[in-house]
Amino acid sequence: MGSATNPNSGLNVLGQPLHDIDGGVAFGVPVRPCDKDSRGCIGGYMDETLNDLRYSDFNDRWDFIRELYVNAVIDMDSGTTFNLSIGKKQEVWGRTDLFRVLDVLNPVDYSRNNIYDELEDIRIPLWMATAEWQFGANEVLDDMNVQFVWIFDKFRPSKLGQAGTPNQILDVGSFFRGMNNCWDNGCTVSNFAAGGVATDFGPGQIGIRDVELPEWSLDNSQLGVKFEGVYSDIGFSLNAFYTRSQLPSLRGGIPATNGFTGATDVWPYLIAFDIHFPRVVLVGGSLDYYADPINTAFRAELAWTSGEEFANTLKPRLFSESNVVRWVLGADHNFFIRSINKNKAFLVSFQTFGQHILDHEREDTSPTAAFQPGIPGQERGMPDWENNYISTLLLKGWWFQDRLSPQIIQAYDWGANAYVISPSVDWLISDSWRLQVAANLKFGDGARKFSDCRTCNPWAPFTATPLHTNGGLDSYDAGLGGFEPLGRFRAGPIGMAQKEDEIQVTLRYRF
Amino acid sequence: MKKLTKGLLGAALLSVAASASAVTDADIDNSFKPYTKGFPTVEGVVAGLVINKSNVDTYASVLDVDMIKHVKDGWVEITVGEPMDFVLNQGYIDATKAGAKAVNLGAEVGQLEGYIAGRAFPEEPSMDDPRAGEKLAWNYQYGYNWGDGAAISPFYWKYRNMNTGKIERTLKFNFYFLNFAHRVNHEPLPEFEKNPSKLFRAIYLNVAEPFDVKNTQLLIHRSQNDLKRDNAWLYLGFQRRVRRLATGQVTDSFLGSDLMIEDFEGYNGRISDMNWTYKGTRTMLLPMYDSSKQERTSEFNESDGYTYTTFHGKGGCFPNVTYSLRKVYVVESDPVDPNHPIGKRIHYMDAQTFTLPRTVIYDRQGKYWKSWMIGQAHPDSHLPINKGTGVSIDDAFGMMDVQSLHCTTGQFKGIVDPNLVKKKQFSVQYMRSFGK
Repeated sequence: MGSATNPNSGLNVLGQPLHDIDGGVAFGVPVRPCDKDSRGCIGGYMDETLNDLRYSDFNDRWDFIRELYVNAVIDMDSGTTFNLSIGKKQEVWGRTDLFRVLDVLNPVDYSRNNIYDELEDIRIPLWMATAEWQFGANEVLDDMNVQFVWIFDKFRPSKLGQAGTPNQILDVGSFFRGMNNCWDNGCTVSNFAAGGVATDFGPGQIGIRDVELPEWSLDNSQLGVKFEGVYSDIGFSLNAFYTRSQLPSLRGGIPATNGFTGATDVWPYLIAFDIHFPRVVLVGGSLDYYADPINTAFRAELAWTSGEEFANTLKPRLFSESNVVRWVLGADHNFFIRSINKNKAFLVSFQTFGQHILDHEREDTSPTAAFQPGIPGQERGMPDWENNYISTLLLKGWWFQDRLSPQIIQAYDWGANAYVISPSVDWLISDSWRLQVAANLKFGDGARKFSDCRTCNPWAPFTATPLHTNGGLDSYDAGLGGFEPLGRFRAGPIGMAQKEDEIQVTLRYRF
Repeated sequence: MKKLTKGLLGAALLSVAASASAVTDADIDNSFKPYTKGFPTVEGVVAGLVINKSNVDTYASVLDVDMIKHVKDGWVEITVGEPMDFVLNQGYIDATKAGAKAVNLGAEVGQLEGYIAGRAFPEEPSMDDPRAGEKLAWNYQYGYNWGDGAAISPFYWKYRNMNTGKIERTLKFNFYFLNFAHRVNHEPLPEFEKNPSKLFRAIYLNVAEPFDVKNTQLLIHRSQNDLKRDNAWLYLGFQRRVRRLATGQVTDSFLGSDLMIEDFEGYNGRISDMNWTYKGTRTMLLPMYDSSKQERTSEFNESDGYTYTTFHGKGGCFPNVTYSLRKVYVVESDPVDPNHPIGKRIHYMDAQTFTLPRTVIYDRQGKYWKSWMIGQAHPDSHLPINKGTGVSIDDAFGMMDVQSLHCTTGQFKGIVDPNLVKKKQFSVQYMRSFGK
């Protein structure tokens, strides 16, 4: 329901482009640029004006400078080489394409074209210093080097896209803006009370209160170290990175106003959050190897991170920390189809990305299965899959002296049952002009459902269901759910963009 | 039967060993200085002769059959230049004298025993020797091509439409070569101390222009063990990643040109990848010349005044250089891999330098596919720094795809200067550092 300070004009319903409400929760999301409508704009994080959105690289962080640095190379008497560089840079780790297991030094701008642009174009440059000592060969390794990276830029998260713009990974920009509007101005949430009644919330009751973006300080800078080498036929690296999560974590447990009593307190399981970017430590490695008998080059990356946070409706603050293992295995094989192209082999490249959440929690809410009984057949806990995999298959060919290159990329999210096929043609018209025409078409289950914490009973006993124990005084998630808001973590970036089939035409001029 | 096979094999090995140990200093002198008693002569083939479609039949004996066809078709005219003695570096000759007597072929193609440095098999090849082609291939593989190390910087490639003569693309490269082992001239000799994978040679290149392929880099490591597959890596500038190359890409059009990586320098692969057959010795015209007497171009405005070879003929695909009469070993190589894109190559191997100024390539159906010409400039006629190096300087190339009527030409600035070539350049990490 609109009000003078929070009118209905300029609002979309959360998730409306992708799915029906279908008995789930929904609320209004302001969609105009933040200079036209400041509702739901989270200062310093998702608060872009029309001009900011139009000219996204021309911001106060000078992103239009894709790279600017000084580099010093010192050849030492020992025969080794010391390399020092300082400036605004993109620093790339890892050996695989598309997936960012080790290539995590720079955050990424998904607002440009979701996950469909080259990483080269969407890495956000950072001010950093790198020192690299190239030792060359020794008695064991054909090549050996050590690199230290110090990112002294003020922390920057990945750009996820803002409500009202076409490219929002997981539609998270809409969710955040709607939630921030709820906190600031109050809002009406559909199907909330008793699981089916639209409910008005006042300001300061539910939603996103604020974002905790780390200020610049020495403590908040980021450090990385990489040891890389070549042993026999194997290229390898060992990597470590002390950083922050580039993706937001919603931490509940903030003081909020009880809608029934008017008291302000910290209420367990209340959907009232601040956004944080927790400290994360990553340790990992990569390798590549060419298997001669099958004419195939293999690439692999593995990373273990600690400190990441995930939504978790089993926890009173609605998040929990977990160690995570991510990996990518890729294989490249070239083959000829002489009848089509005599001179140039086709490339087929297959990759599978895996993620395993080590401290994963999810449980059945059925009274017969749960200590804290809930709605039969529902689940609560972490919406993310404990184990999930995304596979990609690239087929690429070249004609006319490599100036015309068609390709097809397919990706399949096994957990989400979401599939995208992206054919494209790249035409190098001249040394300066390049035309790219691409499309991506998605298929699969689309939006997915998960518990939305409507039945978490934060303001016990007023919000209790008949299933809540201790006469309705216990707060916990009884499991009622819908598409919003946590189903997005099960649908994944492909599934959440199910209805966003695209045709892209890019004309580049380089000079 | 098994015993008989073993017996025959043993006899063959003994025969090989016996022939290797029979190498004399006279063989070596003859191998490196075949023109001591004068250059070869063929009636009428003298400096200044222009062979064109009206007279090519008269001189058919000094050209290969496919070049004769090109001349008959009016694609090119060949001008004969003065013969020149391309005596290789004395260090390489000395290494041959010191080591050739101990060199033997192993039991399998690609195995070589007792080799340290220099020319492996300086004796004259014999049609009676079933492995003569393989020995000549080893002489090429361990030749003094670019010495212990050298750079081609810059190196311009032009992609040309043979029908229209239109230049479709111009790429500017820098190439670097370094011998990790079998070195003969520059310390350390004969091998780098830290060489854990026992590499023989490495090639590194980067692209300077145009913008879309700028910073593309290629690194090839070739092992001393010929039976071991090369390791190759490609750095793609737009991805900022080093990718390990699959073998298929070595026999693939390189950056859209008419060359595959395996074509570099005439043949850039393992001995064991091919079956080698010696087809005889001929006196032929090869593009080997005094570069100071050729028509050169200053189109790339080198600050030191260096000029590059020009091109002429059909589509501008033929190096515009003079050819001289040379002693030539004709060697055929056909791939072991049945999926290899080519059917066979015929190499016209210069007997004195063991360079490959002329190679003809046939497809798997046996049809003439590519014409490969690498002009060799005498080092004493080239850049001042190349004088006296005893390196036959690759100076210009033309690779014609006669089926699709397309060609790639190359203009070299070859510099035989060990100071330009650093071991660190031949590492994967250097590619990453360079590409930033």
